Amino acid sequence: MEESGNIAIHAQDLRKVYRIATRRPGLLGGFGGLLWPKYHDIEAVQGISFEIPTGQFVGYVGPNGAGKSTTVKMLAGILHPTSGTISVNGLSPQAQRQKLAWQIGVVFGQRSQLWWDLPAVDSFEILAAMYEVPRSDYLDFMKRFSDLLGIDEFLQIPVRRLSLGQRMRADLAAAMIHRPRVLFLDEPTIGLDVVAKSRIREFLLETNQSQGVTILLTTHDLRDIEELCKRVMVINHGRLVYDGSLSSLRDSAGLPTVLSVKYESLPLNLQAGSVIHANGAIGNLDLGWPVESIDQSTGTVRVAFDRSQSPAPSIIWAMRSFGEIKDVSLTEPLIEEIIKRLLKSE
Amino acid sequence: MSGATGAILRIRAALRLYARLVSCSIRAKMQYRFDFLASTAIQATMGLYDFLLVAVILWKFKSVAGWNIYEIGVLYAVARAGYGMYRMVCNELERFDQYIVNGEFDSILIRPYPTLFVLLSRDFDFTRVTWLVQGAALLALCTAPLIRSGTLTWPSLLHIVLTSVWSALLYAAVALATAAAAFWIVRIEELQVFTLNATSSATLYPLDIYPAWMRAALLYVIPLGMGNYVPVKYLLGKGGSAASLVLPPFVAVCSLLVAYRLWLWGETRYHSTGS
Amino acid sequence: MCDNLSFCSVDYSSGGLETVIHRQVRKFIVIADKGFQQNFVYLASHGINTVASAIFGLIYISLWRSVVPPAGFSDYTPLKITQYIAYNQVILWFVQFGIRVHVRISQAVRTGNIAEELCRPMNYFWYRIAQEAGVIIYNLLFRGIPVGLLLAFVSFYVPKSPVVWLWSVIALGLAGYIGLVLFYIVGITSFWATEIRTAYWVVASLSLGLGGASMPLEVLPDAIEKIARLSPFPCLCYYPARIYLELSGPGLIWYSAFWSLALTVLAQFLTAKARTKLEVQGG
Repeated sequence: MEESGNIAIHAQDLRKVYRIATRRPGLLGGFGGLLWPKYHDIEAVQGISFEIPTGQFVGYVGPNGAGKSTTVKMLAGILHPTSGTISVNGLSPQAQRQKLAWQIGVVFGQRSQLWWDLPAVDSFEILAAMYEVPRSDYLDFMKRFSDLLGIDEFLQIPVRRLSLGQRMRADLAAAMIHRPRVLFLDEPTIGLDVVAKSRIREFLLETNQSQGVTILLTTHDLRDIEELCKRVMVINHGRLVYDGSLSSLRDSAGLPTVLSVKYESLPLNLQAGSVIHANGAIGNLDLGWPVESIDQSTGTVRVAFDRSQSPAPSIIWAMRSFGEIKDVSLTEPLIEEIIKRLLKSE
Repeated sequence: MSGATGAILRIRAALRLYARLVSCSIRAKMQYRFDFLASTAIQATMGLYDFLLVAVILWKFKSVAGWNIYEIGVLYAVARAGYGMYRMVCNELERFDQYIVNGEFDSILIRPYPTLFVLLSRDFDFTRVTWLVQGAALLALCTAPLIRSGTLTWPSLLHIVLTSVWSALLYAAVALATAAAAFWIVRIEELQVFTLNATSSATLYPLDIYPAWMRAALLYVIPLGMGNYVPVKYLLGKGGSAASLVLPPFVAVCSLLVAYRLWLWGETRYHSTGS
Repeated sequence: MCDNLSFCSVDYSSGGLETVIHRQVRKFIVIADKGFQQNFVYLASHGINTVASAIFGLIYISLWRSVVPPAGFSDYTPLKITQYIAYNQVILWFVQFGIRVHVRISQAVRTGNIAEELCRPMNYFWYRIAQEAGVIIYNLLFRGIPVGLLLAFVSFYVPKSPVVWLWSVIALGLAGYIGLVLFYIVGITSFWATEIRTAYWVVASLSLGLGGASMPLEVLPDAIEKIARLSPFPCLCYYPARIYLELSGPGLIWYSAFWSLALTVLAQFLTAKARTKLEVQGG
């Protein structure tokens, strides 16, 4: 098993272009399309480069059709790039697909890789035989997966009768049976309830931290990114628009944190749009923090501010002058908003 | 890992893997015994309908192109047994278009083995053993009178049993080539009706009855006729030569190679177009 | 309220059955239009299917040609039997293949939609029949006729007398209707049985075996031939073929008419029984 230094995944100027036959309407058009086909190109991935060191947990987000799945498929050796180079663990997924397959695990969120009609345990046994996993290792894994994912609850049930959460846990376990060094996850938490999601996140975190498995996680649920990834790559229209840490992404977005202040009785001099100054006065200029909204029924005033500019306590202090504060809470900008803003500026 | 020992170890691992698949599949199918028996019964009637047709005809007309009912029964039995063996192993080939449509082929591509092997290891359809049993039973029934009348000798009978294997390989080759077409045209259901259903029905009867072009097609283009008609004709003393016994395995292997080449070609195309 | 046996007197002008038929015809036109204009893969696969059907016809034709002596047997010359098989290969697309009414009904029962469907203001039986009628007409025109065109290379009989055409059309119409009713009945059994697979196979095998599709009834052993003639199955292929090929007179139509009526009564009866069962069980 070769590893080029400590870079697990290396992608350079990846491009993927699909040639689609242009559909022409009408009967004559249909005939024409058959005899003299015209094609147009769709660039799914337009020159992406990145490096992922061994043991890193990277999130990969973007809108539908942005090119996430295409990228992952190229890394796994399913698709061949139109141009550019890839190396995973020092191997080329295109030229050395089978050899690389021993070292990678892939989980597709929308379809299972298990044997549909057989009890879940049979899938594990067959995969263990496929990857020549020694019996003792296999038993260790089963114990570990039972502890972390609780798969012993449904081992004897045919996969087609498992709930989505159970099936996803089983798929994850199945992907790890041969102890891959790199794990590709394509929307593994899609459609799951909160409990199932958190269980899977725990497992992934443990796998990454205690085993040093490099993980690339494609997801729509930005909560996954928040809890699991320090680094996030954002792709849009086939291009990488952001590649860095989550915190700097948040900082650079410039979206406000929202402070919700609940008063004993709602101050009458505050309305949506009033600007609060540090000294407790109200101004109409943009020298303070604007009131975003007022909720009459709960007596809550919401103020927006930039966390990197003003610390929360100073705003709370300013809010004191408007009445007796019963409760205070802070709401970070939603990642969805951050990403949306990032993509809009594209 | 050096080339030769590496290959041997891999083959051993693959066999072990397949053995595990077979045992798991059988265990799973036997759990639903009633379903199994019901589908067995249905398959039995399906298989018998074609034979009933010719049986009725033969009851009235005594022989078809010089073949009596027992001889046609042998033809039929070999084809059915071969089909059963093919279908048990290659069940996933018949529904391969689903793999392209649903993107399931991606899951095949992430495994450390050739894709065809991974595909076939997704299912072992034990229920098809009924075809094999039917074929064997029919063969027993039909060869008894033939041996008594001296048309068939015991060594020939053994040879006939062997031809069912060539028949299975030929079915597999045709099915593989048809499945490979899915890489280009995706929906192959109609094509399968043509290359597998129509042709295998045609080869249930002696090819003598067909117009020359059809006979040629069934021997050299979609060579299912090589699996039963050619060797059985010789073994029953109706024509042909010793070459009739050598040709089937040769054609079977060549067909498989051609079909596999098509498959690999399709796989390369999949790498650039996806699903 | 559905008065199952007096469907003739129910008023459909409010849009019950008429609308269904109208809708079906329109759907069928749209399918035909869409199917060929916009999707050439569809056309190609249709083409392959036609060739496969023709090959099946060729198999049976070859089988018969190799056994029938030049003098013929019964009243079939070798040519006539070829034409018999060819004709049946075409109309099988009208009376048997592609009919899915039994699947639709059993699915509705399984999903529970059946309750809603039975509440519609029209006779459920006629609704289903009208719905499937569009399908079999489509199949006859776009799957059956092309097969006939291909088999014309071997031999396809075309009657010269317009009267024969008239009787043929009537016989064929009744055949299609009987086919629909038979499979409707198979579908209705899903109210009582969990799986209609067995019922389907019984009916499909009987209609292929006793219906005369790949062999005229005269070939069957006497006892079986008698049973066949007492059943509705020959109405599907055998009687229409005999009339079309001018081997028999139009008198056979009486059998088809009788069975159309009898099976309709049976179907309506079973539908009423099914409806009662549903009302009692509450879906």
